[in-house]
Amino acid sequence: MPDDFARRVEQLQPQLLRFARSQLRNDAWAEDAVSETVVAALEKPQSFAGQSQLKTWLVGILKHKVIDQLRRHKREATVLTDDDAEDIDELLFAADGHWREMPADWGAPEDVLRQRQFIDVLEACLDVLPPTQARCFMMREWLEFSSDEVCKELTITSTNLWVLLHRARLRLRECLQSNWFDSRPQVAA
Amino acid sequence: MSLFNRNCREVTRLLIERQERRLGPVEWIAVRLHLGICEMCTRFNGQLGVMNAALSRWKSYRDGGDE
Repeated sequence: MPDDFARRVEQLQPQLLRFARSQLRNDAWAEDAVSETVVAALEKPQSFAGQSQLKTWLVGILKHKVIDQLRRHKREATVLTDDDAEDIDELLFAADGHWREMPADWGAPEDVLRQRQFIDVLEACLDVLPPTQARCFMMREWLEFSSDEVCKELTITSTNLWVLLHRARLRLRECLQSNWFDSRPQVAA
Repeated sequence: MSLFNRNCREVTRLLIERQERRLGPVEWIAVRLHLGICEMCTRFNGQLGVMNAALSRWKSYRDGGDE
């Protein structure tokens, strides 16, 4: 029985590592967060009462370990790469503040949500966000921190956070446009 | 009156920032007025809606299973 538990935890480890990497954008920190998650899980299997899926339970633990890593490395985690610092607005808007190009009509949310692959493309697009934008964005969207909480955890100002999130959302939009909306017919086959 | 007169770049910023903070009443009116006459920003706002719906689905896959 306990062996079986350990084996099931182990099987989920690659997935946990992928999630941790996407949030932390640093392999060493991600590996630490996952090891700590696995140790915590194996130390107290009784707290997994089977009331939820094992994966759900493990992801819950992982989120705490990931936050610990962000706190520990917050200085490094908030350094801006050149990509993080790039001003996307310049590409989208003319000097007078008008759109250079008409934004495409993406249709209703229900239409894209019917297609599972859209979520895969979204995930791939999240993975290519610049690292510090990605960390902030994922803290909001995956860890469900409020803006204020992200600022507090990373010790950054809200103005800085808003700029990063602004760029992240615009990049995500560009990525979805070119990898989903531009590359398939308007009416799904 | 120029208080309410924002260009697309500014309105886009406010539409995104609205997810991080409550807009002031003047900002909110400016956004509403602009969306009433601007098809481009209206479309952009629709894209934000699609992204938000997709992100919440993505999160539930990630946290819940079914992968």
